[in-house]
Amino acid sequence: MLIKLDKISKIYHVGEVDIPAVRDISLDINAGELMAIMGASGSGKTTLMNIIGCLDRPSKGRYLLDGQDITTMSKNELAYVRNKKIGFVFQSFNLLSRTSALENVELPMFYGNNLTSRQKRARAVEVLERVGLGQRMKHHPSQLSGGEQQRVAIARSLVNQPKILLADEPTGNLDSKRGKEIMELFQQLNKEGITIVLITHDKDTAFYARRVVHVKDGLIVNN
Amino acid sequence: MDIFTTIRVALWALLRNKVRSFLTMLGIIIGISAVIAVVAVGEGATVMIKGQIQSMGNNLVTIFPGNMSRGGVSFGGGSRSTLTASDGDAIIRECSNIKAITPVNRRGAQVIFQEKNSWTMVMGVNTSYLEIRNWQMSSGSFFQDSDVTGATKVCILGATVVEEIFGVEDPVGQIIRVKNMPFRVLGTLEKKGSAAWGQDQDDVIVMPWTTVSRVIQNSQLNEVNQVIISLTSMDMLEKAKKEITALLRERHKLTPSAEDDFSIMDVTEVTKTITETSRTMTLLLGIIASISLLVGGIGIMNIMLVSVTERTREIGLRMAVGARGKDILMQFLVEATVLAVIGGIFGTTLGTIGAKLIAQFSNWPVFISVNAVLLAFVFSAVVGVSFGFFPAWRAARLNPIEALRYE
Repeated sequence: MLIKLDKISKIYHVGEVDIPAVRDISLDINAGELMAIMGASGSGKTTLMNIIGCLDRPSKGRYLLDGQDITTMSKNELAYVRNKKIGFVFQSFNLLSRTSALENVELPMFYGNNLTSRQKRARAVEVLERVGLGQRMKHHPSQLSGGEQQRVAIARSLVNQPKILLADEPTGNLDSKRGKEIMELFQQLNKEGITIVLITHDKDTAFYARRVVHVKDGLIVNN
Repeated sequence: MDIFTTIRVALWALLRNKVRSFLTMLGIIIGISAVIAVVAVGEGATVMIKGQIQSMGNNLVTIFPGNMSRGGVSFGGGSRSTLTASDGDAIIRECSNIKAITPVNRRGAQVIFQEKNSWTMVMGVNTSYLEIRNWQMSSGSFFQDSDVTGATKVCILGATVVEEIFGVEDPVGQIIRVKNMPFRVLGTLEKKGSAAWGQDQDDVIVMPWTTVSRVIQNSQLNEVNQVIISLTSMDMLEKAKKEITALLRERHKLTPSAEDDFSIMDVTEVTKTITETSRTMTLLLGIIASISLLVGGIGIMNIMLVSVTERTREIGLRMAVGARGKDILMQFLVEATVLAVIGGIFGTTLGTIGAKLIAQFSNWPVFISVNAVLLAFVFSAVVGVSFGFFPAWRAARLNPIEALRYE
């Protein structure tokens, strides 16, 4: 079992009122899965992703990632876990502008390891080739198409060999053709053994997943 | 992230916004160069003044006659001639801590050599004069004690006088005319430069004081304009002054209620006043320069805050891929410091060049001390760190989730 969520709740305090974003969710994700968490906006799926991605801690419940209890970790420990075990792909790519694809991909390696710059470069080249951008490594984001930018972002998420790849609406900013290409890339990577969790409201995207979890009002509706 | 990578990333971030980085640096550049230039000019002035005071002579005390007051109105030093050469002799005989002493008779006069002439100061002194004034001969020799006793018509020329009436010709052994009387030139003096108050010390001819009295002033009296004393040590100044005062009062037969009919002046007071004035000026200018540095620091803080806001998403992303708050803090802190230190380097260079230009065009002496440069450098780094801290801290405290969603 790669991920085990045990009765996870996240409650936000807005003034006097407590607003639960996620309520008593239990979810297991196995290594090698390609799954989707689906839900409309406000359903709590983003909160769920933040917790799985170790960006946020649950208010209640227990979260085991790769056998480690995340719930009790400090901020710095969470940063370390994010660096080593989790790769993020965002809807808006979040690439550094005026920075080459190669340097963007190298970014996660600046934190928490002792690779030489040569090793970093070699790894970045390798993952860029893997996502099919071997020819455009020196280009800046502004010189790349949306699909290519998202490929750079995927390469960046892969560079530290994470246990799990979290993709938040990865096709949201792309036309359907590019979106399809990106989803096919995810399928390809999953076949190579990477665990992928997609967070989306889009049925077409969820279609590529082998398992779909629907979230509504902070609860899992079906599994 | 190690420190070299951090510095590299900081440089890269600064180069992304070249114009902005440069404009931000400008505050520091102006501040630091102002500090460097001001301190250089200030220290140069101090060094020059000290040199000039040194050039006046060794541990000097000067006695002026007079200082007479009548009905509460002071006539100041020199208002009546009561000082004689024998007072000088008595002082060296009876007071302690006196190294050398010379009476001085001064008089403006025209000196003529062939068709050239010059109006200059004639100094009548004795053979201790060179030692007292800490002065060397440039050529020839000084006069002897016998010249003083005999009031012979010999003289030694200052560098300016040599230039004006002899030019390149060797004056030693020549005869010049002073008040239409022939004087033999025994030697010339080394160039001494101008005094602290700007007077040309080389525009002078020196001869026995008796010659000035008997021959030039045609007087049989022993009255002199000043007596200059060189003390063995400046530490003995107060004691020596007391002894001299007591001795002169006794010799001049002053009643205990009468005021001194002479005044004693020493260079320590002048030195103190001048160095204090110049130090105050330097301090004042330094404060003004520091304020401009402070403004530069605020500029850095301002631009770093803008930069943090602008790069909120970058910060969120860095945090998502594993940067700790500490890493983000360091990144922005180093960025601010690099900005300030590069500004400091430019500022130091510019300040040094500025000081050199001031020296060249205004004949002001400048003195660029290593300490001032180091201090400016350290100061700029401190400005960077202290004004960069708040923005960096703000960046480090960002919540990655919110930062990633920031539009």
